[in-house]
Amino acid sequence: MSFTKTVTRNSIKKLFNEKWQLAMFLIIPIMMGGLFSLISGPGGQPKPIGTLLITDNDDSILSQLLIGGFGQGPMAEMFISKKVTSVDGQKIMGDGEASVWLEIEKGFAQNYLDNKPTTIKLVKNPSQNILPQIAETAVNLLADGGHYVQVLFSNELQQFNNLISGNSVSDAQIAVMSVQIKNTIENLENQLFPAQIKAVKKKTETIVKKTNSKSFMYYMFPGILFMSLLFSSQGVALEFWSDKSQGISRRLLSSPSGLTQYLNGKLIASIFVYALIALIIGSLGLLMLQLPLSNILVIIFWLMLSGLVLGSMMLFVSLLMPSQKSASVVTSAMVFPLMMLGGSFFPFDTMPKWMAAIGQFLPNGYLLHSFNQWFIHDIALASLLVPAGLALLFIVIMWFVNKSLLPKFARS
Amino acid sequence: MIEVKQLSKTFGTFIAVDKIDFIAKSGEIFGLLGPNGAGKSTTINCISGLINASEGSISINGFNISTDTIKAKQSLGLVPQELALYEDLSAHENLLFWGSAYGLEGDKLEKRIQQVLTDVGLENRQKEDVKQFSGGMKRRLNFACAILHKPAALLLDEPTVGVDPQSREHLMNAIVELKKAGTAVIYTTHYMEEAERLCDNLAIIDQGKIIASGTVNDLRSQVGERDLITLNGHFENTDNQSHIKDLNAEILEFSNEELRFLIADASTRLTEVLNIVEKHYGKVINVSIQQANLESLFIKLTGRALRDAA
Repeated sequence: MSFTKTVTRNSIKKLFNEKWQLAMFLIIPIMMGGLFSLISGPGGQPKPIGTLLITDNDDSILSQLLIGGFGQGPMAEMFISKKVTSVDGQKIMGDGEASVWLEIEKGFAQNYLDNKPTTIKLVKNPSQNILPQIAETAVNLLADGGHYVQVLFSNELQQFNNLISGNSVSDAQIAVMSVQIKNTIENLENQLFPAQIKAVKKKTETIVKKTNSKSFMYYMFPGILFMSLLFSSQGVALEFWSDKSQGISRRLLSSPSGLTQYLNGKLIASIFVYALIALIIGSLGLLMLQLPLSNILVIIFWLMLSGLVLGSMMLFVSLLMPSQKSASVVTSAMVFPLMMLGGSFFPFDTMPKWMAAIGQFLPNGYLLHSFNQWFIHDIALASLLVPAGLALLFIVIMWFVNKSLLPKFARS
Repeated sequence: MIEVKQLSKTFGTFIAVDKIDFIAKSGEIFGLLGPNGAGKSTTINCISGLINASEGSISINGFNISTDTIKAKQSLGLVPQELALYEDLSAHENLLFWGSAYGLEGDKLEKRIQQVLTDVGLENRQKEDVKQFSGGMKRRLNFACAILHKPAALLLDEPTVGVDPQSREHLMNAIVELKKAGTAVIYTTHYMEEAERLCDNLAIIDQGKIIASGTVNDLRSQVGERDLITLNGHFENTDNQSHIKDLNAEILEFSNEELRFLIADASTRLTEVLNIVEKHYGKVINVSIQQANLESLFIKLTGRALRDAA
């Protein structure tokens, strides 16, 4: 037992001596996860940001309402609006430093209320494709919307025009105007949104709300943890080769403690590594995702268990290799497909179904998928019991297999 | 005591060790001499349990390595030919590791660590990482790791290969101290001078077989008080060896390029020898005289020099 403790202590000390290796276990997965999240945006969808120049020569309530439309909702997430004069707008667009320039002519509101033609000038940056088109579509929609409002509410607009041009309007007229608008909207609502469509829409909204409530980072986070586990389990397996190259394992054959205690010591040290990874990356992730820090206990337990599974598997492959170089190459060749298919690069929820089905049969994929059931899909923690049992069984079997392989490995 | 009986080890059809017997008694240094590939390391590996013997039995301090493996290994210390040290740990940490591998712990282990560090002259460098050590210092530490648990028997497999004179002296002295303390030591080497200096009993091994054994004096007597003369040149008439035999010489090799023979008082009779050789066989380009030693015995027994034999 004492020797097992010594092996554990030495292995942990060596890990901290090799700071770059430890950093690799932690930084690469965090970096990759961070980059993926940045690319995908916090909500999971890519959102380009463009500059929208606005020149409001009318400066009326109506023109301000129009401009306000670009400063709210999804448009606000895509465009940074900037008010400019006509001269500045022309210059900035000439320099290609904005996506779109919107110029509202003087008298825009009055012309609209008088049911006369009016102009909104839209200048697009030809070097950009998507954002100017989105802006153009938005302006077209506003123009169409404005036209329909003119058709449907011509009387009300006329009354409103009188109101703002100083003609007196009685309370009764305002009440009539309100009732007319309400009736028109209700009539239109029945035509445009019949009951069946309404019901389906409600259901869709519920689903969309549920899935969109978790960011892309939320889906990536378990994958990042497992990516780190894969790197570290490979490192743990290659440690045996490092010791062999230094003559340690061979000499141990002549000692009474032998290789079993050595194997146990190494495995205990590896559990420490997995727990450390879970603690560091797990805590960071929970803080970023604003989740309860008490979840860290489950994360640490699951990563220790999963790490032992992956470490045992990597060790098995490593022990079968004829040289340190072969072991390094083969385990590296295993790590990347396992990451890709096993849900570490791309969350299972974003994978094609056939690929996710394959990935969930891989050891890391199975363990990650099981973890996701609790972490992402909010299924009860008890759902992890069966996978945990299977993982333990796998670890025990692999312990016996690796124990029987070690003497031959040490002698060769 | 280490007792080896009818030990054989085969690798496929290759016989690395062929039915050898020897005993290394307590308080004795037993030398296994032979060229590289003679079977010395295979013998050591069988004794230490690194590989399993194909036939025969090995007992260490009375425990059979096959049946009482743990007790036999507990009684044994091994200094392998290759270093077995963690380069990125300190000397002290390496000793902690190997001490606990032999069941030592706590104060007892710490006291032993300090003792062996003093024995090998590394007490002031114990906190340094091994990667900063010279080759000789690593060899000394490698040795120290093997004697931490005060083994009854110690196997040393070419412990001085690549070692500087200072470290060699440290090691030699430490081995002699162990012998005085009653440890049975098996020492393999192809350095004859080391074997002659250290070993009480010797076995010369070649191609897996013991070809001679006994004390250093026993073995020397097989060569006699004769020196080894080696002449290189371009020789003819080598079928007729009578002119050399007339000098009371024992011919070991007689070819067109090299003449090698044992002869008494070689240095005083060298002129006479050279005159005869040049008169009857041809021009001598190079002459070497070696006093009677184990090297000349090995040449006598195998017809090859130890260092050439590899």
